[in-house]
Amino acid sequence: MHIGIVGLTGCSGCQCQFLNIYGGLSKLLERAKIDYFPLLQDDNVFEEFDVIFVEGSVTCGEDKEKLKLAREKARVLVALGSCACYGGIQASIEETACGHFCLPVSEVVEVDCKLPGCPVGVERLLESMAFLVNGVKPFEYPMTVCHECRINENDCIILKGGICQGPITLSGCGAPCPQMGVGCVGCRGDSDFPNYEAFVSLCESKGIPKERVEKLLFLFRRRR
Amino acid sequence: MRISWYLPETGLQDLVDSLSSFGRLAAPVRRGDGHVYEFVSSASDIDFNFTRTKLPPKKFLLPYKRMVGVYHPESMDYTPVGNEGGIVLLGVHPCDLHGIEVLARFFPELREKAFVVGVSCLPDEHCFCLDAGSAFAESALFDLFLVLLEGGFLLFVGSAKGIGVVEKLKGLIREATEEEIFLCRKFLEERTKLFRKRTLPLAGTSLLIEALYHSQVWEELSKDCLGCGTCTNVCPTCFCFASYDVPDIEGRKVKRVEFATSCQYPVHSLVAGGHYFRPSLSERFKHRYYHKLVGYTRQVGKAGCVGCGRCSFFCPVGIRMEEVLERLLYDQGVNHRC
Amino acid sequence: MIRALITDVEVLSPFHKRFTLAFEPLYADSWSHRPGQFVMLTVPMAGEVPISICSSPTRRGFVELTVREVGRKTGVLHRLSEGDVVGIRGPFGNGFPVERFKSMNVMLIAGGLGMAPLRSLLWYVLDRRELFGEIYLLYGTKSYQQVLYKDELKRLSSRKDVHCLFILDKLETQEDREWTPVEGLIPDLIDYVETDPERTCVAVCGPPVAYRFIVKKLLQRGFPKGNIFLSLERRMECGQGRCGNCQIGYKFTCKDGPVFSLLEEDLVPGML
Repeated sequence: MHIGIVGLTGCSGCQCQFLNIYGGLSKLLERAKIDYFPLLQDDNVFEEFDVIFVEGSVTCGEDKEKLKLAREKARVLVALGSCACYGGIQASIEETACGHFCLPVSEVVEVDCKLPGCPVGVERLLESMAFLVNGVKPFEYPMTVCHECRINENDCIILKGGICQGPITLSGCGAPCPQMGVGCVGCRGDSDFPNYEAFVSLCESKGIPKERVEKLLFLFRRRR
Repeated sequence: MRISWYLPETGLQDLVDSLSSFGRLAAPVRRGDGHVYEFVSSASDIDFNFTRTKLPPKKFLLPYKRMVGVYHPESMDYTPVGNEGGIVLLGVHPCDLHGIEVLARFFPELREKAFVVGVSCLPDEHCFCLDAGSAFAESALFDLFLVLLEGGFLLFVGSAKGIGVVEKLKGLIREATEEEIFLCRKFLEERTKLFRKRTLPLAGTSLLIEALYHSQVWEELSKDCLGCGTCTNVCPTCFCFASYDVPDIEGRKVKRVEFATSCQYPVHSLVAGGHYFRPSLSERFKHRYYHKLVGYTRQVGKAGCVGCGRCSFFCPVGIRMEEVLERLLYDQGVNHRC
Repeated sequence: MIRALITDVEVLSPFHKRFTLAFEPLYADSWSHRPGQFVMLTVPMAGEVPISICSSPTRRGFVELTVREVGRKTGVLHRLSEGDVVGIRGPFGNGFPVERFKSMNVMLIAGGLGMAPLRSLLWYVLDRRELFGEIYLLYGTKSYQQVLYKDELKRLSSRKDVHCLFILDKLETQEDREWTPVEGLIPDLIDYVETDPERTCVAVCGPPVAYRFIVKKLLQRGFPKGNIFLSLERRMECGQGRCGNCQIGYKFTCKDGPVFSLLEEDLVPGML
């Protein structure tokens, strides 16, 4: 099995998560060969891949070409991290006159699987690897961050008077931010059919103006 | 035969020790702004001074994420796992005792799994167990029940297993005196007075929910709902789960995992091919009320709402079960205040 | 979960395959099902999927499942071939009340993949032909390409003791026109049937959106509600009325269904 890890425009944090799976990495290397990973290894081959992970968003012609090539060479293409899935923080900047663009991978090529997160969670990455090396697409079950937060028995940030995007953000991270007392910023993107109106009016009832709420909302989410 | 006993406060540790033969003991402890059930070994960690725990005792009975089996992908030999070992739940309020009973009607194996010790409580403004018919332990399943009195507990026995424990504690406990039983009755009287004055005829409301199933009122009621699923996650009787198989990296073993899901998530009604049977927020919102008050009654003969108030208390936008029901009644011209 | 061996895989369309499964001797003898029941099929590594049984219980010793490739689990299943092993739990559900159909005319209305569970019923009534009156098979798909069991149905069309009526959403290719002259949606096909509604039992299985229109048409034609049986689809995770996903009103589709009488519609909100 041949794996490639490609970085487009992003902080490379999600690529680094491959190193943080520790023991899992050695097990993975028994079954798969990492042919292409320029961030971490000197000898890289870009030929045929069973799975290719693409991190970062598409912000220039070079990115686009790299991505299209990756799609051609890969059986399964995985969008790794929120930049690849939704465009990332850089996509929240309004388009400028000089032709700046910032696209998620899925708007340029077909994506087989999305692993959002900023950065993508190590456990989720390891679990997905286990699926992928066995030829199965990773399991997805869209719930909300609130689901995991409640199950962790954290104190609810919203009930304490703060702002937390947990109710409308896709689960899968284990709610680490609310656990540390910080409201969810929505780095994993939308949960299924999020109720933006209700969320905005909730924030407004806490005295936060609509423009500010929208800015917070679309930090990671793709504006439609 | 139910007999009332008196256990001095100092005897709590002995009670904890004597229960160890039934399994690991979980009891309410303080964490953050609230209380949670946690495994404890020392009575001094236990804090009975709580209104409601963040999660109901179902977190031990029907864990939110549980491995249920393992199989080998080549031979497909399946081995169920994870049902070993009992559990002792110490400090369960009457509403949650009723919740456990409801769950046990769907999952009969739970009856054998848990030794349950109830404890008396005082309501806050979110509690409506009195209206739900689950304010008292008598009609629910329990092995022992403690009523907190000054300096000790009045201990009621609710099962044969409970009698066994009382036998073990002989010497420490004694039969309750007339005066203690009088104090207990007085406590219950005072407790009843603390409930909100308005009453909700829950049984009548369930009929209304059926009658109003196709009403537009749900659209309006669900407008503020964020669909976060908190109400079902904190509910002592919600049991919906989904499952998935996860292979290990070597591809030699596959684990089957079940995890709690919620009817508030669209994926709950999604089928292969992309059709959602409950695509709109109001349908999902309505489904919860329907299932709690109509569905459970038809399915297992007991309503799914035990009035613990968790869904109201933890809802981030403050949707309150009792207000929704009152609103339904009001729309039908029923004055719930009389 | 019992082990089952894939003994045959037949490609029915670009998206559909029929898997024939055999059990170990121990289970092969004890296996029986009713038309309309389903199994929980474990695809190794990928997980469990509910699949209707498409073979008739009158043909014993094997079980046939028709599966459309639609997601991550069925995707893996479609890569399996003869000799591979899968896991089976079941059969689950109530199935069609075949006793109720006896000495009645039987009308089967299938849309798309709904043909799979009805095939089980179809062969049941054909193999017990003497027990039933006239038999009508109404089957609609998008195009000829998506028609399942093509050869089998062509052979059936030439039989005198069963009336086969087919419809396609659009007649575009030559193949389409050779298959049927009728263009439109399944409810339209009901108009072509001349039968006494009071003496006819109807079994319906189609895509979720179709039921409302089929039922409307049937009621217009005067079929009593008690004669109409719907095989419904819902999300299922367990098959045993435990997981809660498949609820229609207070009914569990997996346990109380998947076949419901239309009479139940008044009691069970959200059925159609």
